[in-house]
Amino acid sequence: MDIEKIWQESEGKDNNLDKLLRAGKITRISSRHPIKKLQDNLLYGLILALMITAGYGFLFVEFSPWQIRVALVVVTVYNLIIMADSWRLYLLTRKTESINEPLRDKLQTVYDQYMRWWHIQLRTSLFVLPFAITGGFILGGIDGSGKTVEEFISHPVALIALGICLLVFIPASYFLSKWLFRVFYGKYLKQIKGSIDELS
Amino acid sequence: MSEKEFLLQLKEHQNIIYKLVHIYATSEEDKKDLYQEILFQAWKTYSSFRGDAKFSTWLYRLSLNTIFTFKRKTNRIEYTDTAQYEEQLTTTSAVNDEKERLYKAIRTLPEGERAIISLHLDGYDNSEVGELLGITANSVGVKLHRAKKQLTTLLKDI
Repeated sequence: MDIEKIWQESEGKDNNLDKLLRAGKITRISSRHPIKKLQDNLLYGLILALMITAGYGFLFVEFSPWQIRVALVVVTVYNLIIMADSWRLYLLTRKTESINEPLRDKLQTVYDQYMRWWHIQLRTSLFVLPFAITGGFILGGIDGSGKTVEEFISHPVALIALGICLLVFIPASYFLSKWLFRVFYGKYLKQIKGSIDELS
Repeated sequence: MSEKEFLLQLKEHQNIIYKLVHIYATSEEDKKDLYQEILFQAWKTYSSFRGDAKFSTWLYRLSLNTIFTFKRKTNRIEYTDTAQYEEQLTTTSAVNDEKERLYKAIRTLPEGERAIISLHLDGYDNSEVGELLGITANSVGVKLHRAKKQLTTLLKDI
């Protein structure tokens, strides 16, 4: 069996391929490529973050107590930094659409950058979450009770409730964000990692 | 370049897509998915085709890149010994032609080696293959030798 000869002479015919090569078809094809999925999910995440940040802006205008405003400023600045980093990552992912660099290097870059982006967010969120939870707690408290911040937090029950909220919601938010990352990015990164390992 | 011109170029070289998809996918559904994904990527990234390489090389690289990152499961049949494989090939040879048997034999190779052997069979030298896959020419040589040896053993009596 002459392998070279058979390979070179083998003319491929597949109806599925022929159908896709008809005029008007190629422009309507959608993609399930892992890098494209990462890119899409990152963009949706960015849009959502933008809307949430706009919501913080609205709350900033609506609520004047400085305690709430400090919390809003902290979470807004955090969001803006993360959004800037996400945009950088989005542009980097778009750049890797070029097929001129070796595949393994390209996949490794995407994998490393997403993991870095994720780890930075996960770690820094631990510093921001207490501000977000406390701000939200005070905001809800004064809005619901009609009291001032000082009156509201002078109540021992409010302080105990705040402590419980912090104890429950910090780890809950941490694990929720981990789970969300796995759902929206993890499976695609796992797929990419598998390809990197096979190419190594 | 218009869609029409692009399609003409693709049709001229569709054999590259056909062969690569057939050595990486077995089920009709997987093949269809890979065709779609390759054509999507080709259409989207055609602007990055600089014209300093041949269209066929560009399409080869794009198809392999897409296949390596898109495939969801390994379509590799693990045989514990070559006798087992030969027995299986002989059984199917009655209904399949030589081409199909060659594709089937190539599908028993590890994924990286499948790319190397297909590029080699299409006339690319080791340094070109290495450049395309991001590995050294020496590494290509070693893998190619191993792949050819395995293919020869599997197909010699058929």
